Amino acid sequence: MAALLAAAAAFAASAQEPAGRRITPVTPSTNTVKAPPKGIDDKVVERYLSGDTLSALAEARADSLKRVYPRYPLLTDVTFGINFLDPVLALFGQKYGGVDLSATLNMWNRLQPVVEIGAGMAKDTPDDLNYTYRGKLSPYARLGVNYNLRFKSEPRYMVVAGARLGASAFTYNVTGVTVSDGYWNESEKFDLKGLKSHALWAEVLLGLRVQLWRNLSMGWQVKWHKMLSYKRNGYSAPWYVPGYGNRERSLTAGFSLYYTLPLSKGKWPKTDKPALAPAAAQPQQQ
Amino acid sequence: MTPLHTLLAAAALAAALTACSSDGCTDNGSSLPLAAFYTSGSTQSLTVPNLTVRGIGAPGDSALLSAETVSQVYLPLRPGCDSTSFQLNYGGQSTAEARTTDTLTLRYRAVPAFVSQECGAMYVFEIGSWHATAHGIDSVAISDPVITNANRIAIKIYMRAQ
Repeated sequence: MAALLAAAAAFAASAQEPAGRRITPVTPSTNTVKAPPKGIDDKVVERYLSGDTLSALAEARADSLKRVYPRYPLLTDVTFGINFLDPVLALFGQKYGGVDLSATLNMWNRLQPVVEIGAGMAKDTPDDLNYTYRGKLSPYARLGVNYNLRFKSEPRYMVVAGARLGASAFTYNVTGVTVSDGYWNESEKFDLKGLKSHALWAEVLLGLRVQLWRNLSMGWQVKWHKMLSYKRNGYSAPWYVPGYGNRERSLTAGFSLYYTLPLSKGKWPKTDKPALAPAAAQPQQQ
Repeated sequence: MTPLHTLLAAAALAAALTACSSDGCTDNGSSLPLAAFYTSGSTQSLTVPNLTVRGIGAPGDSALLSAETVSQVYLPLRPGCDSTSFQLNYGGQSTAEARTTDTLTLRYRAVPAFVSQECGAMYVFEIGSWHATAHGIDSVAISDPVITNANRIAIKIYMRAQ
């Protein structure tokens, strides 16, 4: 729990917008900028966008600069990712694992439709219980959308909130079962093989992504998920659902590496061309 | 936040998730029908004095209960059979009093099931019918014909008023 709180604190700190700070002005990483209200000096806007927000706010009203931030194009970039947290956790004793690939379209650096596909499997023979559970390698898919909470900043640093709908069809076996009755001093053995099931679930998530080098980035996500429906097999129920994990747990996570393809030239990674002043002067339709 | 911070946060998160231990099996470890005693014609629970319960055919004629005063008793079913009989002997608090003996037979179907990761696999019993002698027992009601590992009353045994 302490580790979770620490992660949440770091997450919250990274999501905060600076209320005001004074830094050495650098070339801003903007694309286009919505025109500020008339009467605001372009140089004030330029200082505000470059990060020197204190001196800019000292000369202009805060609300007049509220909508002054970089505007990214409809198709900003597309990012491909691989989530490999489960295989890592399997090395530390987790009884199931899977890998999923994702494709994320970044629209206006704000809305991000996401498709995730993957495959997962499970194997568990608890020491103190009477069975071996095998979830065969089975596919899953998730569809959803992210909202970039740092849409005013460059796409190389993102804090996102998102939602997903996931589905999987899978097969599992429960073998080596021995049921003993101490009173009757009898034992019976059975196997449950080829149990087919399917599941549908929903997720909400908070995630973070940072640039590592050029177009490579990494990030993690914390997910709360809920099973909407799943198929039972008589009195049996699967404990592992590919793409969901343990059916009885509501918290999970992801850790991914990403590769981003810019769809608009010079948007990300940003160029060093000073382009703010002319852009700031031109009204943009958004 | 730098990539290093992100990595450290992810590691802390992974550690927290893997540290989340299971609550274990909160129900019974096997499917056991729980029988409760009631006074005939009422829903009032009855405490039966000096109750001895034996499974008919149990090894060594061993008893599930031996001269205990209870209002409920677990009646374990034989998974390899389709019926199990129990002998219930009760009453006779003093040596002069006669004891009463009844036999209760449950007929069922044993269905293999995987219940959960924590509780494991077991048989679930579907009770189809019952038969009881009527020396002290007035009637029997199967309130839950599907016997799982849930800890709830499945059989209600109504005793004649003394």
